[in-house]
Amino acid sequence: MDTKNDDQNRLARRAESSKQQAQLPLYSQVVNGLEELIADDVLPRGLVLIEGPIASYYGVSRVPVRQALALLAERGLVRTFRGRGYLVARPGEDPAPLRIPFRSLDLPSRTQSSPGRGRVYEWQRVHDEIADEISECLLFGTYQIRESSLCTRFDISRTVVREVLSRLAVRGLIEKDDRSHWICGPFTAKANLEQYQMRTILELAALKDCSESGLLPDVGPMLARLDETISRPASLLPMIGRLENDLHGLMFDRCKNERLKASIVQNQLSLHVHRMFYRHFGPDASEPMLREHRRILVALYSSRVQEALAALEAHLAAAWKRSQARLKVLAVIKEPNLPDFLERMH
Amino acid sequence: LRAKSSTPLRVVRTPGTTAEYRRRAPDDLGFGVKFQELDGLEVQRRAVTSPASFDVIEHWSLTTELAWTASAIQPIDVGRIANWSDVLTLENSSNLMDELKVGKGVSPREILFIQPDGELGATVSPQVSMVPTTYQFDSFGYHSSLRQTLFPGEIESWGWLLDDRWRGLTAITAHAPIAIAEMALASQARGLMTFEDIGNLQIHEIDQLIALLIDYKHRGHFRAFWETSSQSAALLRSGDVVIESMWPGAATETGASDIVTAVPAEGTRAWLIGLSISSRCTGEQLERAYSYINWSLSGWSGAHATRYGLYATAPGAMSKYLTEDEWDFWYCGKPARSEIFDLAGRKVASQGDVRVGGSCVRRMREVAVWNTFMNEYNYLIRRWRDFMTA
Repeated sequence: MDTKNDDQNRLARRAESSKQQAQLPLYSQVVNGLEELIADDVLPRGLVLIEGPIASYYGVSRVPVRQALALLAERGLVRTFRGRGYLVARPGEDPAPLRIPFRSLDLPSRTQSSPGRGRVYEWQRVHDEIADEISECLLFGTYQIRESSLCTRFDISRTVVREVLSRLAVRGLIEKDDRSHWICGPFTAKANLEQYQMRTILELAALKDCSESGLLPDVGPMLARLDETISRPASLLPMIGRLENDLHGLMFDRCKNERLKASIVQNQLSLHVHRMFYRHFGPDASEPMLREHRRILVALYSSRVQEALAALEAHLAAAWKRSQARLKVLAVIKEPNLPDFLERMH
Repeated sequence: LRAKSSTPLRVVRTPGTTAEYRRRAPDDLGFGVKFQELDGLEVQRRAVTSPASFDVIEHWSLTTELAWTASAIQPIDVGRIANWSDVLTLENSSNLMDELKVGKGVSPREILFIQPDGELGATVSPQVSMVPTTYQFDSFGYHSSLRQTLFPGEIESWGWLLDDRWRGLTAITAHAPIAIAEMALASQARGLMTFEDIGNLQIHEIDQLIALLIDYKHRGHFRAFWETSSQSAALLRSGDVVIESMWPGAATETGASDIVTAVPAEGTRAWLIGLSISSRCTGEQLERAYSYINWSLSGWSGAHATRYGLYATAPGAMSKYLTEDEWDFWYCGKPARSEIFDLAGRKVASQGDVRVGGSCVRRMREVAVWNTFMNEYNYLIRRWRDFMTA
């Protein structure tokens, strides 16, 4: 009887935790999954982890896996080594690299271990990777997107390609031209200014709304992540996307106004400018964004909402100025190699 | 004599380093100096993306802004620049830094001083992003025979570059940021377009200007688009072209006395060059970088640049190397008391001739626009490509 009750409770807890997981971004789901596998010694010490097989196991693209591995490295559960990928190792440990195919490990069946979505749709698997490659080229010209090349490249159907593209359009990453071709770029200084103006209106409104309705998330972990990153400048590059997502994404996650939330997502292309800049020139410990984020989070942590609002406004104004300067710098660097699904128009 | 160390100071600059300059610098400094000359766009890319590949870079003021954003250059302490107060002098009592504010676009003063918040700005501070060395005021040149087609009393204007009277006989530079600025000045002078800020064109203004230029191109207005100063000189000399945008040096290079450098009513397109130190430069190399900068301002180098046809900063130190007559001619806009020669020994003025544009101070006050990376630079170069291939 008791055992049965326990089982039921456990199942109920798992279902509950599954529901919570589904709210998390893909990379967090992968982090949690891998953390559990390491804790349970399913992934032995010294095991070499590479992106591809993990992505296929979780049914996600390689982008969230890359982020997840960087985060686990941050937490001291895995680390880089001379070879490709990461080693399962605690700090100070130096196990010999163990190369075992990921799938041949004693992994729990996917529905259990990928706590999270019962089903990962086909488009979700490729969405982030396509978005990533498009945003990489966005600043360098105007490109047409070839649907057929996307089908071949990712081995997906036209239907899935269209699903991905329409979602990218909602995010403002691509648009249709007069002849109904999907195009992207160039991301101009004008578009950048307009996005920052919109972000100032929208994000301030959302922050105010969430705080008035008591729907702000717990900023404690965000602040902890930020401080940890500040104290370890080497972790800046892998972490900076997550820090941006904390303040400009997760912060508004529980906002009841869905249209406001959607508009915020649509106007965040400007974040790509900083991301590209960091990728080429590297963020350093003096990166002003870190101090500015901290001011906002500290104010929210102590429930000083007015101060947080003022700090967010100041942050967006300063970030806009930096982005304009960074946009000019990026115009000088060489254009990245184009993926085959993009065709240059001008 | 101090022993020359095995690692020379690495100096990257635009073309124009004479053999005499290459010899003189290490001799005066007592250590090796390795000059690397790169074309303007390559200097730009180098300044921004490869700070480890140079110790000192001589580049346009507009690139400084980009190099600073990319953390590729380090603050220069003006306390260590012996002639700093002289750098700021223009001529007699006039202050270069005040005059630098004239003109549209990003003036060199706006990106010179490092502000307390780490940004570049115009407010004087003890640290700078670059030490200005030379500057010039560009316009266009034409064959004197063109004067026969002028209306009575007509004065020189940028608008002439888009004037139907010289359809098929006009050339412009192929360098996008410079050509766009000149074509904006020309279209505005002809009343074809107006701009909110001619030093920082908006997307719709760029589109409108490119459409206008494509129309001119299809009507056969442009005879050529030149890449180098020598090409522009050859075009004028051959007679294929009677009017074109022209950089200093090209006029004398033609060797022809019938080439006129215009002083446009709307003002000139100005630029300034200076020295920055790589953010990676430290220790002994950093000491040498400061020595090189100080040497550049100590007179000989400035006089050298003056005879090359440029204006140099730190005029006080140049008095040892320029005759009073040369100084009065090159800087003060006074009639030459005797013949004046350039660096190559070519005569540039006979007795009584006056330098085009008059005194340096006057020219500084007549700047229309500074060479600038407009905010929409990225968009602009792509639309310029459309024009070139149209």
